[in-house]
Amino acid sequence: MAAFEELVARHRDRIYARAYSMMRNEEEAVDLSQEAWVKGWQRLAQFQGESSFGTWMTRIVINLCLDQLRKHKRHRAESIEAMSEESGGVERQMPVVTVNPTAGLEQGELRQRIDQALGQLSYEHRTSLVLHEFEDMEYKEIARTMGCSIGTVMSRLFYARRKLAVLLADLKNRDSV
Amino acid sequence: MRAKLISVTGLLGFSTALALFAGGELRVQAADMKFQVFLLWGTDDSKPPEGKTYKPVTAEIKQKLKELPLKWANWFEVNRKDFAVPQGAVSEVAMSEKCQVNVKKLAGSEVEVSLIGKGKEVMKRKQSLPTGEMLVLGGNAPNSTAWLVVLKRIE
Amino acid sequence: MDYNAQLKLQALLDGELPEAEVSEVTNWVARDREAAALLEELRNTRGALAGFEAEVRLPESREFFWSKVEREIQRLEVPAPKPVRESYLALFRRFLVPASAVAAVLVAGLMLTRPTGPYGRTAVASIETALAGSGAFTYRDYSAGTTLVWLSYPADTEVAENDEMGTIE
Repeated sequence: MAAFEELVARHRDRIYARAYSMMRNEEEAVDLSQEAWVKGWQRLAQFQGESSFGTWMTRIVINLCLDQLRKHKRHRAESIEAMSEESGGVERQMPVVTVNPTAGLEQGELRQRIDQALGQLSYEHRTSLVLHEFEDMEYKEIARTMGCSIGTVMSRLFYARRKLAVLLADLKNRDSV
Repeated sequence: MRAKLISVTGLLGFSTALALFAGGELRVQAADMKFQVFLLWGTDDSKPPEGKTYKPVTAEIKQKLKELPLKWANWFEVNRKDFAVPQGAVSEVAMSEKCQVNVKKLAGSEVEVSLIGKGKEVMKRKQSLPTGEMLVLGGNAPNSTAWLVVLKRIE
Repeated sequence: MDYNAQLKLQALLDGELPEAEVSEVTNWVARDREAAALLEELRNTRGALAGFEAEVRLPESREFFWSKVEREIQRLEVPAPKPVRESYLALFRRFLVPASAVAAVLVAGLMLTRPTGPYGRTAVASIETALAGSGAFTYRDYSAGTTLVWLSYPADTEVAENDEMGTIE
């Protein structure tokens, strides 16, 4: 168990970061991280080394988060905005943001803004973004993980990026007033 | 005369072939597996305990151990031995009064490794161990330290 | 700019555009200011996200978090209580109601064909690695060519009893 404790110590922040990016709730992210580590221990015999241990563990926490998010969705009332996000028509009307959102910002400020902006995306869009940008997954892998088509992944990713650009630009404008 | 020459030549040729074959066989049999085995002590202290002359591990071993999920900051060499294992034989290597490692060469790169602690077998494991690779066996030791037996195949 | 064209820009950025289309889309971006602006926006967003998670820390101490994980692992590993073995008489009585000759014959037949072992379990295949204690742990680093086998040897109680230096020698 001592060796496993060391693995937990080395990778705990990464696993938590992934859970937090997806769940947007500190308490839930901690609980899901903990659950992921317990599952990791139970499945250790299945770890074949085809990826790094950290990547393997991250996949476990991603799947736990997705299961949890799906449960949330069943209980959440569908808003019109959420429905239009899903159908993917909104981003076509968003004007192109020409200002670089990182310009003139310190890392901490930027992180705060991104944090705020991510919180305003639906879980499907946020998850697509997290899996692509933070997990370096290809479209087909995201599709497999989220149980949707590659076309849907591309649409969700596109929407998420465009929405994020607009939100970051809005936050920048608001703070400069 | 000619027939005699042919038969002598034939005999010579056959003998040469036989010698070469036998020599080849001997060469195959002589390809023992060679190992280095280390008994290490792991601690968060910067030096060994009073009265012990353990030296710090080599840079190579240090780096390999760093890549493993082991929490101790420092590793010291208690003992080190080089040995060879012929095909089908078992080499018994005493690392300390309480610790012995037995290595048996199986087919290909496969080995069977047994760890004997205080005269009793505590572990037996079969695995492939290609040249350059290491098998590290470890456990807790008193005062929040650790012991390791590192078996490295060098040939 | 149609929606499919926009998605192609994204695919170009992500390295997911089919090889055959790369030069066509690249040339289009070079000619079309709107396309170039959109690609730039997508690129900026990606840049903004890079390293976002790098400073995120789990908001619990190492020891506290580990104690929760360990507790949960141990709770889940508690073995289930062994089933109480019924005597053959109790078993026979139980199947006697409703009393019928056919049922009795069936029960007798079942009892005769019960698998071996006290609880009807089949023999476990022998394992290659015999390990001391139940806390053994194997970790394999394929890239470094190193296998770690962590044993629960000597037992923790023994370690505590011999809490002095030199006991590995």
